[in-house]
Amino acid sequence: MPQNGVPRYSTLYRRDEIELIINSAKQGESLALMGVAGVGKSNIVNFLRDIEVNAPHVEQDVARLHFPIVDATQWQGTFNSLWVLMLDALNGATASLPTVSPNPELLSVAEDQRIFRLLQARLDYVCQELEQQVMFVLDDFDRVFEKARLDELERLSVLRSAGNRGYLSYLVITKQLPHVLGRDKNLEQNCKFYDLFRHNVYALEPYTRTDALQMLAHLNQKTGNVLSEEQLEHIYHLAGGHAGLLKVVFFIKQKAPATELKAIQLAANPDIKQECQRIFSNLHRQEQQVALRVTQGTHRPEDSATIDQLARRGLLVRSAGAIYWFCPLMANYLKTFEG
Amino acid sequence: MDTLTIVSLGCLVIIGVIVLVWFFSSASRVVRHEERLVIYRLGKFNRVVGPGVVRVYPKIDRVIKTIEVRDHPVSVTVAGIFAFGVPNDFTLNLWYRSDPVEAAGSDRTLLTRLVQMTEAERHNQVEVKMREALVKQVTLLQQQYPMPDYASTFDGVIALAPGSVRYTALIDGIAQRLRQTLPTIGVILLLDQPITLVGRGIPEEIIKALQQKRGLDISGPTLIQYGVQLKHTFPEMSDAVLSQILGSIPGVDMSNVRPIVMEHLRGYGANVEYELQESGRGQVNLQFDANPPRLIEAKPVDIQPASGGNELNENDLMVLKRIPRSSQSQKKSE
Repeated sequence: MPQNGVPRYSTLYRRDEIELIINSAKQGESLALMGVAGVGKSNIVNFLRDIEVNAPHVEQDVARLHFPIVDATQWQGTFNSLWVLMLDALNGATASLPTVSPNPELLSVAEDQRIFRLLQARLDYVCQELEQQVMFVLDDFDRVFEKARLDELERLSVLRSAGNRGYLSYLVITKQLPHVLGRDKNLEQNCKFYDLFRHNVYALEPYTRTDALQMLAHLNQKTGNVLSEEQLEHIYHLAGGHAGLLKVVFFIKQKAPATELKAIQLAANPDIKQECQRIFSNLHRQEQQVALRVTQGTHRPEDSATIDQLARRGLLVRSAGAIYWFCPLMANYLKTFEG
Repeated sequence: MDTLTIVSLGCLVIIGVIVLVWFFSSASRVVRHEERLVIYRLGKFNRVVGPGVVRVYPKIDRVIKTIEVRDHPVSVTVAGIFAFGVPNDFTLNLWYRSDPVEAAGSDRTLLTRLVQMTEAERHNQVEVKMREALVKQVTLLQQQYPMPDYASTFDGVIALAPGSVRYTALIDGIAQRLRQTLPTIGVILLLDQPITLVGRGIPEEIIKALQQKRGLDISGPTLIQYGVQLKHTFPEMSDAVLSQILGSIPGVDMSNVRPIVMEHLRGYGANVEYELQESGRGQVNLQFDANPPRLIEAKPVDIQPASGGNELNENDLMVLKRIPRSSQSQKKSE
């Protein structure tokens, strides 16, 4: 590993996830990624934001792909604000492409309609005229599923169906299952937007060891290479592949490199507790209940499907009939969970 | 009676004696102490003879085979036995001899059947009987000595560690079953030699999982129960030696034992210290109280989660998929 400039992303960084996303974008298919808080969703978003820079890593032709990033935490709960966010993101992502003057007729329509029409016009031009492919990254979209109206969500589908099939797709990123978040709207029955990705809802698991160590090495290099490889490995052992926990433990260790880190002591650290709390509180309620029962060893046969889901999310590991937490810090946190 | 007649009769007697001597001398065979001969007469099983001088009449009897009845040890490996949540390959050593006569007793039909088996078939059947005994005994053990619900893979691994109650029950049960079943294949189990577990193969992936140190949550009551049993059986054993024994359990890397586990173990009357160093090596130190060990039962606590949300039904739980893993990334990420 070079001493100078440890790259943030290795050539293997989230390889399967990135390949899945790029292949979907190329085919114009939408998908959803569901990951717990701090698992590294934002890092995927950042990777896609700089896809041209990172393209050599993915060994794919991404010249015609564009990933406008929509940070849904900025959504103000109105129709218009979502279109504004999307239009800004699209303009940013396709800034290198030619532009055309907006249709003067748009100046006379209402504001919310105008922004949406501008968005649609730009999309139509980029996709149909320039034959570029656009995958909107709808990051942190949980609140939109919960709060947005059904007709508002449906307009996302309209954008695609207006001649942009095969060119426009969505990558929806949430912490919980989209259709459960939007249960009151009955997305499964009524929502064409949900239909776009209903069969492609994937779990975003914690980092692999390679990705985790790469991230730690990058952090270490940025902070003066204070820690040894063994110490980085130990951090990975404590935090598993959870990006948030890795970062917190790294900085704890980095402040006092000579102090030996023990999982049971770290469990009392406020930053660790907060990170674990973030993970836990963003699970579905049923997942939380089962997680606690698994930790206490009081889980029931009927919990099996939920345990499977937690396993698919990379939080629990099943092996030969036994169930483990993905890292000792989370296991310790839940053992001392006080509600 | 004239002289000629007397001479003739004398000659006949002499010839008869010679014939008889020849007949009996050629029918006699010496069979070694550790061998038995299977005799067929006129194409049908007749008897098993030996050791010492035996008669096999020419033209009438035929030695079909020689059976070796020597006491001898054999190691039998039985693969894929699932015990306490862990798949195992058990290798057991036992002493036996092939002795169809003793095995069949007065049952001539059984004896007829047993003498027809080849030694290779008999050995194969020993393996089959061993598997049957293991499966039945493990099933019984799991009912008699069930693991707690919260038992981990680690607990499953050490559940059958030599010296533990389950191990002793397993071996005793196997011996009892084999004593009954081996005679049906013409084999006698030698009870003056103990059956011993000489090898236990645990799948590499389980050992790997134990060694990967990824969030293993080892509750460890079985570990401490085993430790307590050893301590009470061998009170003079030092804590250091006991720690070494626990640490030397096959397939178990003590560095995987989490400090949190030790909290559980204290409930069994042991003071446990655990050190997990940054190198990944761990050290377990056990000290036992003078008081007898006691078992603290886990009390489920009804904890309310922090936040609310919609309940998940069966269909909801089928929506989420795992991202397909390419073999390349799996290989490289290991």
